[in-house]
Amino acid sequence: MNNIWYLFPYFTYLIIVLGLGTVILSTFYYKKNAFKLLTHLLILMSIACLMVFLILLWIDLERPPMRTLGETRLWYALFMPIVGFIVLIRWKYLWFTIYCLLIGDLFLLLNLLHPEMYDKSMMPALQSIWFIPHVIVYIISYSFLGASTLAAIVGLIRFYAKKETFLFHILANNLVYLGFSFLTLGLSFGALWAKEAWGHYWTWDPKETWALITWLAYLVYIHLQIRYKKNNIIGFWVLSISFAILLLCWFGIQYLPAAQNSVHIYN
Amino acid sequence: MLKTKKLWIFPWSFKESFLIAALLLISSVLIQLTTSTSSPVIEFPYNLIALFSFAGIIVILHIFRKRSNLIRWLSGTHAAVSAIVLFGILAIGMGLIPQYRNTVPGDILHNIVNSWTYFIALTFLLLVLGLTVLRRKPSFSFMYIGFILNHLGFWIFLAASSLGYADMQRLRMQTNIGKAEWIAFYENRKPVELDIAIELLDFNVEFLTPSLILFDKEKENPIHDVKPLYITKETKNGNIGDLQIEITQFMEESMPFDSGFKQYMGPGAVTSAHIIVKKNDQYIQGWVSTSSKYLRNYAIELPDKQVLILKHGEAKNYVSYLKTYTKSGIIRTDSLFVNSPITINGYKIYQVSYDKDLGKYSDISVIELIKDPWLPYVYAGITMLIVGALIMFYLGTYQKRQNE
Repeated sequence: MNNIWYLFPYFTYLIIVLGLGTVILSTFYYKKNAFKLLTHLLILMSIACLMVFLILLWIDLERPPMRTLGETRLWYALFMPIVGFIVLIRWKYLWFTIYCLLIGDLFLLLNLLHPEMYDKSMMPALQSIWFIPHVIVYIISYSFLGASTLAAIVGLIRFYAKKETFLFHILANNLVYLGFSFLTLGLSFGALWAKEAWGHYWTWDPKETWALITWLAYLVYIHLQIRYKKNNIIGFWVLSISFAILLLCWFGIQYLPAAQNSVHIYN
Repeated sequence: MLKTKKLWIFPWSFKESFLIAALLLISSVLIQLTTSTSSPVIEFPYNLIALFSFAGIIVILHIFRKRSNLIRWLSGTHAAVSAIVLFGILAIGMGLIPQYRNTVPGDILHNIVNSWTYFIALTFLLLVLGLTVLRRKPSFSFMYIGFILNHLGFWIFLAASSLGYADMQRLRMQTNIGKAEWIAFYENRKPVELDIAIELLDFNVEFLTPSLILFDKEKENPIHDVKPLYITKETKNGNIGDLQIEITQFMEESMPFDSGFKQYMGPGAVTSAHIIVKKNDQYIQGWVSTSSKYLRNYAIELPDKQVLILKHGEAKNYVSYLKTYTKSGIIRTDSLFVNSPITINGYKIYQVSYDKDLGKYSDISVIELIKDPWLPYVYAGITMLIVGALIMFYLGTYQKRQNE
C-alpha cells in the first residue's frame, strides 16, 4: 500500500485554506447569524479533515499514530482547534478560537517542513491498552494548558500596556484547571502502565521526572492563585514558565544529558 | 494593597516560607556532607511504625493548631507553595543530572532520591500536605470530596511509595530451556533462593517486516526523508525515492553461500534478498542482507556515496512458555508476554529479554520477579488522584458558570 503520508500535504493545504476562510469569515461573525453558523461549520470541517487523515494514517501504519514526535504534533493540531471551539461555544471568545486554529495549522506546517520518519514499528512495550489513553489524555491536557498560556501572555501584554487583565486571569485559570486535571490523569495512567510494562510504577525515567516537574509547576500556579485573586501578574509569569517546562518535557528531553537511556525518546 | 510587614512576624507569607525552604535545603546538604551518609532506608516493620508515628505527629500538631502560629502557617497555602517548590527543585536536579543507583554516600548530586535533601524535602511536603488535609472542614460538597481525594490521595501515594520502597523485592532470573532454575538475583547481583523453580519450555519472537533503506555513507545516517521499502515474500518491486527496485529473490532465513545466499533455518541465520536497482537507465544488482553476531551485512553501493541496506525488522512481540514448580507440588505452565505480567506465588513475573543474537532460536529468557507489598496502598492513592482529577475537571466548568 502506498504510504499515506504522501497525502499529508494535500490535507494540510485544505485545512489551512479552511483556517484562512474561518479567519476572514470571523470578521463578520457578529454581523449576521448565518456568518456565525458558517464560521462554526468551517471550524468543524477543518477538525473533521484532520480526523479523517489520522484515521487513514492509523489504518495505514497498522498501529496508533502516536509514537513519533511528528505524530503527536498531529494530535495537538487536532485538539487545539477542538479546545478553541469549546471555548467559543462556552465563553464566546472568538479571538481565542482563531488563535487556537492558527496554532493547530502551525503544527501541521511544522510537520510539512520536517518530514516524518516512515516507521511502522512499535516496540513490544508500547503495545498496551494504556498507550492510547495515556497519549490522548496528555495531548488534550497540553492543548488546554497551551491555550491557558496564550491567555496568560495576552494578560502579561495588557498588564504592561496598563490595561485591565482580570478577564484573562479568569480565562487562564479556568483552562488551567481543565488542563491540570488531564495532566494528573496522564501522569496516573503512565504510572499504571509503567507497572505493567517495566515492573514499577515510578522509576525516575527522565521523561517521568520532567512530567512530574511540569505537574509540580502547575501545582504551584494553582496554589499561588488562591493568594493572588486579582493582581495575578505573578500567576501569568508562573504559567508562562510552566508551559516552557512542558515544552521541554515534550520536545527537549533527548537533548538532556540525563536522558540518554530514557524509554520515552521519540525517534 | 497589602501592608508591608516585618519579616518573621506572624502570619508568615511567601517570603518566610521560601526562606524556610532554603534553610531546609542548606541544612540537609550540610547533614549529608558532614555525616557522609545517605538518608535512612527503613524496612518492615519499622517503616510501618514510622508511618503511624508520623501520621500521629501530624494529628497532634493539628489539634494544637489554634494555639500556634507556626502550625497554622504549616497548614496554609504559603507553606504549601514553598514545599512544592523545594520538592520541584530536587526533581529538576534529577531531570538534569544523570542519576545512579549506587553512589558514594557523600555524593548528593548523582543519587538525589537517596540523599538527605530529598528525605527532608519529602518530609516537609508530607507534613504540610497532611496538615492541609486535616485543616479543611468536612462537608458533603463536591468541592470537599475533590479536595480530599486530591490531597489525601497524593499523601497516601507519596507516603506508601517512599516508605514501601525498601520492602520491594525486585529480582532477575535467567530461565533456560531444559533446566529448572530457582536462583534469582537482586539488583546488586546478590543471589537469592526462591520457593519456586522455573523452566523455559520454549521461546518465540515475531519480527516486523524488514525494510530496504537508503544510507548516507558520509553522514553515517539513514536518509530520513526517503520512505523505506518494506519487503516480504510477496514484494516483487517498488521504489525508494527515485530508485526503482526489483526483488528477484527473498529469503527470511539464509546464509551466505558461494557468491550469493542459500536458504538456512537455524541459529545465526540472516534475512537476505537479491535485488536489481535502476536509476537513470543505470542498473546495479547484488545481494543485501541483515547482520548477525557472526555475519556482517551485505549492502549495495550506489553512486553519490549512498548505500542500500537491509534493515532487520524490530521485534514485534516475544513470548516465553514457562513451567513453574512450587514447593507444594503444584506444576503450572504459562505464556509470558511483554506488557502482560503473570502472578505466581505472590510474585508478579515480567518478560524482560532474550538472547538477541540467536533471535527466535534463543534458548534463554530473562524474567523479572517482583514483590511489592505496599502496591495496593500506592494504587489506592493513584485511584484517589484519578477520581479527584475527574471532579476537578467537573468543578472547573462549574466555577466558570459562577464567574459568568
